[in-house]
Amino acid sequence: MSDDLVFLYERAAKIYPRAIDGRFQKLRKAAVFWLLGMYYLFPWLNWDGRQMVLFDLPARKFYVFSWVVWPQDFIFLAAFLIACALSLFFFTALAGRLWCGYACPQTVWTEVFLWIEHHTEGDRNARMRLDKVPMSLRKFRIKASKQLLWIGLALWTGFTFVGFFTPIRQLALDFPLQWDLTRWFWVLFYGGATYANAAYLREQVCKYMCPYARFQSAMLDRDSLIISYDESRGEPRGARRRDVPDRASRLQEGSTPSTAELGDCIECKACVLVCPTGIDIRKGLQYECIGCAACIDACDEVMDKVGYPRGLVRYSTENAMQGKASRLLRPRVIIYGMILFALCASVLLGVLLRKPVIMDVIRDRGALYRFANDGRVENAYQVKLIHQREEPGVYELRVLTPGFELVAPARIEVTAGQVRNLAVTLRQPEEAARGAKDVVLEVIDVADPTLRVQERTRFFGPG
Amino acid sequence: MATEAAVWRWGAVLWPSFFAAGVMTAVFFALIDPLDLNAISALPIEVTREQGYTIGFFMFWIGAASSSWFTALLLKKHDE
Repeated sequence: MSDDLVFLYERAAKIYPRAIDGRFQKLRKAAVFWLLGMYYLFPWLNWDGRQMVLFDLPARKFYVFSWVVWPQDFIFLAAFLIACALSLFFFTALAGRLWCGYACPQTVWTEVFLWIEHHTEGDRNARMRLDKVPMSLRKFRIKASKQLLWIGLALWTGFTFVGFFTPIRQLALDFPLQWDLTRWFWVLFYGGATYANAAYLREQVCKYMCPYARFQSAMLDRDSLIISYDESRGEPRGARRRDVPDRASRLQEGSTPSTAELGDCIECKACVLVCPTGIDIRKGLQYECIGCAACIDACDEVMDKVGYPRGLVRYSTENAMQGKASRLLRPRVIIYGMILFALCASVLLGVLLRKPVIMDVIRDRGALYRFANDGRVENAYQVKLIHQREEPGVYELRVLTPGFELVAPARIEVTAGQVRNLAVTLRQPEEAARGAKDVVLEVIDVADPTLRVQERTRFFGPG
Repeated sequence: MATEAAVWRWGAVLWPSFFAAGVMTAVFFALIDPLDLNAISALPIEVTREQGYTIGFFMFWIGAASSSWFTALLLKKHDE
C-alpha cells in the first residue's frame, strides 16, 4: 500500500494540448454546449411562476420542472443516483470512458478554459513560446486578459451554482450588498474550485484525484470499445518519403523490402501532442486515458493527408485488435442494461403513481387502551398527514373497519406543503373490544374524492 | 519536489473526505431536518437550516479528513 503513495506520484510537467478538430471533437463540442447550456440557462427559466430547477434547501423542497421533490421522496433521489452509477457501469462496459471524455464536468469546463486559453494566447507553439519569454508588456497583456476571462467565467459559474439553491433572479438583484456570508462563501468556493480545476489542475484531477479512473478496469473487458492503436497495422513506425503508399497496398503490389517493413504509423506524434493527459496511445490502454478521442481525430487527419485509410487509432475492442471475434452484446452488458432498465422503470412508475398525500398512523405510547366515561374502550393514535401540494387543501379522516367510531376533527385543513399531526381516538363497545384487531383508517381529499390513502394500524382491547 | 509531494498528500486527504462529506450530508439531511436536530440539542444557540447544513457538512468533512489524515500518517511512517 505504502508504495502507491510513491509510485502514483510523479512530477507533473505542464501539458500544452494542441487544438484539434474532427468527428469526435465536434461531438465533444456539442456535448459541452448542451451540458453547460443547461447549467447556465436552467436557473433563469421559470415554470408555473417559480424557478424551473431550484433546490430549495431552506424549505427542504426541490423543484425539478413540474415536479416538487419532498424529503420523504428521498427514495427516488437515492434510486436516481443508483441509476446514474449503473449507467456509468453500463456505458463503461460498452465503450470505456465515455463519461470522462464527453460529459464529466472536469472535462467539460477544462475544455472551455482551454478555448479561452487558445483564443487569448494562441495555438500550442505560441503558448509554449509565450511561457518561455521573460515578462513584457505584451506578455502581461495577454496573460491578464486570459486571467480576466477565466476568473470572470469561474465567478459566473459560482454564481450560477448558488442560483440552483437560492432563486437566481433575487440573488442577482441582491448583489452585492444584500449577500450574506453564506452566499459569498459558496459563490467564491465553487468559483474558486472551477478556476483551480479547469485552469490549473486539469488532467491532474483525472490522474490523481478521480476514483473512477482507478476502478474502471473492473468494468472493462476484452469486448469493450476503447480507443486503441492498431499495432499490427502501424508497427514498425517510422518516417518515410511522401510517395510511400500504405502498408496494405504495399503488400498487394509487392514493393521494395526497405519500405515494406514499415507500418502505417508515420511517427508524426500528432496523437501525443493533442492528448490532454499527455500520454502516448500507441503504448496501449492506460489509466490516464480519459477517452476524449482527440488522438483519433488527430490521426485521421494525418492519414487523410498522407492518403492512408483512416482508423489507425480508433474505437475498437481488445479482441477485435487481436483478430478474434468480438461482440458488444454480452452477459455483462445485458445484465447491466437490464438492471438499469428495471430501476429506471420502477422509479418512473413510482413517480407516476405517487400520491400527493402521505398518512402515517402511530399508536399513542402509554396505555394499550383505556375506558371512556360511557364504558367504551378507547385507543389513542397520532396521525401524521403530509400534504405534498403547492396549494392548501381539506381532508377528511374516517375508519373503514366496521364497528369502530372515530373521534377526529371533521375537516382537516392544511396549508401548502404542510405536515399536520393530529391526535385521534378510536372507540368500540367493551363487549366487542376483545384482544387485538387490525383497523384501517382512510384519508380523503374533500375536493378530489378519488384521492384517498389508507393505512392499517392495531386496536387493543382488554382480555 | 517535497512541496509538490506535500500538496499531493494534502489533496489525497482533503479531496476524498470532501467527497464523502458531501454524500453523507445529502443523505443525512434528506432524512433529518436540522431544525429538529437543533430543538433536541443541548446547544444554547438557534441555527437556521442553512447554518445547520453548513455545520453538518463541515463536521462530516473534519471527521472524514481526520480519518484520511491518520491513514496517510500511518502509511508515511511505514514508508520511512
